[in-house]
Amino acid sequence: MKKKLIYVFTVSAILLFGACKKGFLDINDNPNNATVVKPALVLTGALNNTAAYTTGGSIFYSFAALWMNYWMTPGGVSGWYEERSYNFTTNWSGSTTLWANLYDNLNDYAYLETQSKASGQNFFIAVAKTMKAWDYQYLVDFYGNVPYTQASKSVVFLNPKYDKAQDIYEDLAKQLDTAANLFKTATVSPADAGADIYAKGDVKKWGKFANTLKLRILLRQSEMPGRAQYIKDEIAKITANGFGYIATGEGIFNNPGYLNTAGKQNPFWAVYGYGVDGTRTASHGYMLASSYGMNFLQDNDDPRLGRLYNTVNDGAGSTYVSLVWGQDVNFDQTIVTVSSIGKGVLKSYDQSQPIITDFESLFLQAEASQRGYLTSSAQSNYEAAVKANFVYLGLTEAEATTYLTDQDVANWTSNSDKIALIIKQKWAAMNGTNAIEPWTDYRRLELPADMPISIASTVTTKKIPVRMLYPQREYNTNAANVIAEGTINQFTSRIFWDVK
Amino acid sequence: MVSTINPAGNFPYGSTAGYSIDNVVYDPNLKPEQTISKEIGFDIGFLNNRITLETSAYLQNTKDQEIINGIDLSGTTGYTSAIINTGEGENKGIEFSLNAAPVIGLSNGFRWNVGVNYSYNTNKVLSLYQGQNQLGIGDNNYIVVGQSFPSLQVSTYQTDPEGRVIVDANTGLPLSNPINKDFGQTNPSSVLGINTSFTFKNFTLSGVAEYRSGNVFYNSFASTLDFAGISYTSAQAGRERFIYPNSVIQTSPGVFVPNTNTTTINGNGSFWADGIRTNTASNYVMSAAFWKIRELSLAYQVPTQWLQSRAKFIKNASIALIGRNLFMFRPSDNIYTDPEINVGTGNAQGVNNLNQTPPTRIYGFTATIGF
Repeated sequence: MKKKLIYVFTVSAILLFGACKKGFLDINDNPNNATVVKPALVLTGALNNTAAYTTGGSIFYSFAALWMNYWMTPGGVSGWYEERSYNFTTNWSGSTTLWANLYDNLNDYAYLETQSKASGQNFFIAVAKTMKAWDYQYLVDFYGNVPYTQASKSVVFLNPKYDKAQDIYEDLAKQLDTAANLFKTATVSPADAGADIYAKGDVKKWGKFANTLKLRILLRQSEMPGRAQYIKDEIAKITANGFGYIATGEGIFNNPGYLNTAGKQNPFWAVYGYGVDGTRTASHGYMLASSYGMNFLQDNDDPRLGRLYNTVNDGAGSTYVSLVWGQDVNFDQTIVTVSSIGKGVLKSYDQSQPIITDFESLFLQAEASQRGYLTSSAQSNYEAAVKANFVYLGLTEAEATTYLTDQDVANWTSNSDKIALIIKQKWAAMNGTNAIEPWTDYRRLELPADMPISIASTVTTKKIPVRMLYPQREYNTNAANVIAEGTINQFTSRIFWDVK
Repeated sequence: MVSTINPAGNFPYGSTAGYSIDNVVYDPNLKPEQTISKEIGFDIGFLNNRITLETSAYLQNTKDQEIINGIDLSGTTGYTSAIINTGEGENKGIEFSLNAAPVIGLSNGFRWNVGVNYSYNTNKVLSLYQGQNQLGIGDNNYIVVGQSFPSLQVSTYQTDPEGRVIVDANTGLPLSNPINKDFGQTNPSSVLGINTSFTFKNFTLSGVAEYRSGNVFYNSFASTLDFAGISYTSAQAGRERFIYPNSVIQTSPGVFVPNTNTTTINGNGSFWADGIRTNTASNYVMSAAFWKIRELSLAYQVPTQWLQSRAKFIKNASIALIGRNLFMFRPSDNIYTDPEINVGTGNAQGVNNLNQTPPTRIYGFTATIGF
């Protein structure tokens, strides 16, 4: 009898387990943590992260907006030693955050590309290639040689090797050609279009974005001797795809539907603007007007003054006051007595975050035309750029026209050095929408030539840094490869395109 | 290898969903850790066990070792950590425990007990995942093949071949060097414990002392003290410019001249709070050795005769004064704190920061009554 019972148990046990689907007893799979998701979902997350990590992120302003004399730090608060002195280490946020964020973002685009190849979604492949080029261009511009061919491969390459910066740049140009050609033929399903929070599946917009990004990559190399032919050949490929470049009113913006909820505001607004309850953020009080930036507007009757900066006491006062970059500040020199960031760039909690603006694209085209890379008129590109910037800041085209006619610092015909004019006006226009590009232009061209150096007593090398240092984490986790890049100095170890 | 995918930062925005790949990658075929342990022991007692000696020696080999918090990856892999079978390690050591009652049986009831225990442990990493030479496990702790586990590695100043700090010829400031230097293990190799008690009549005085050595620790919180200007070191030069101690200037490649007159360009907050001082972790690495009097107690046992005559229902009663963590003796280079404070409960050891509470000193009084 006993024996029989055991048999019954055994048989029923086998039947029970046999009837269940595979993995019933596998407690290692957590159904709440997906390991595979649809590419569209990753696309939305990755695009929004790009906005938060680059042009909408504080790291794109925290040092560069100071070095480019847009903003200046107040009295009564200590900090900004590295920013004010240009003396920073491998542990400084500029060195560490940019690297960590961009490679984190790249992993999402790598996943998007792989998954979309499997499912044959060409539109997503092209978007992934474009956005990878966006992230990698910044990585190269910040650090020079970086892991590229072996990066984003998980434990397949535990210690990714560093690729030559110029090789990466050349490959990015190729990837963008491929992307543009995919945009030409790709069909976008309505569901996929909804996931694209930059352009709602508009392949023409994406094509222009890819082309403009490639133009930016090529223009970076303008000062390299013997590079003109390469640049022209590559531009011929852009022209061939027929998309053209981002024109007036065609800027790329991110907006996932920003809300006035903690953590869901526009990221630039959330750091440099106002909290959910309307009180100003700490950083809004930390970033005040810098004299060089403000004087340029005040001295030239520039209507952008009141859009880029508030009057003292955060707009409640009647005067505009600024601080000299790096000066000693006392307890009274705060937002109460000094001008703050203006409402032309801090519009609202749900403002769309500029990724690449129409005016940046037009300035790029103006410079490319002036250098003979493009056949369009340098002057009309330049004037359209200034106008687009006025419009972005909430001013009118008519005001821009008056400014362009009346002011010597803006008038095309009264300036003989057109490149200097374009770059100076580009610097003025980029205030509050991207502080990295003007810093990069300065590194490439040493323009604007009168850009002030910090006068802080802690400055030991009177020079704006030419790069970031590799982050300490690379020395901790990828030591052999990063050490092979040699001793890196922020004042002398230039990026390959920085030859001037 | 598998990673999970979760909603990206700040999502959802209303009904808009967005996902992002997490930063940890897992080995789906993680194997259980296996330890083969061999131990031999020898116990002996003399004089009716008035003196006892216990000894043992052990050797443990662990395969497929797992690190709870994962190993650190370069962010360029797309991930920041991996949960994997990390490697193979060997652990060996000896332990002695000597207990004696040197004084007993005196007519006045005086009695002395003493116990000494000592252990020496050494371990070695035999091999690591994918044949790597070393892996980071967080908090500046590393597993290095051929070395004991875990090792502390932190960045230093640039030094000449004699180990003197190189300063900038113009600014007098030390030059930072991001390449990590190995400072040795963070687990103590030697632990010596002493406990003793003296009993006279109804009084018992007892104490426990401990000594640990052979390890280093990184006082990360001291860099915060420097940053805030409240450390002893930051006031050493009176907040004035000073010549960096034992520094050299490189006059031509490979030629180093002692620095006798170039003072630091700043001596106040700009020196002590800047990133070069506070981020150079080697400024805050020191020996973790210590002697501690962990506990002292004085107890009084109420005489049973007295109890029986007054309160028969009480079988025994005692009162005691207890002090814990009363004294700590540290090497002179450790001007900061107790080296036993630690950031986490993971495998990483020997690192602190401002987020831990310091060890408490306890004064206690106990009364025990048995029925």
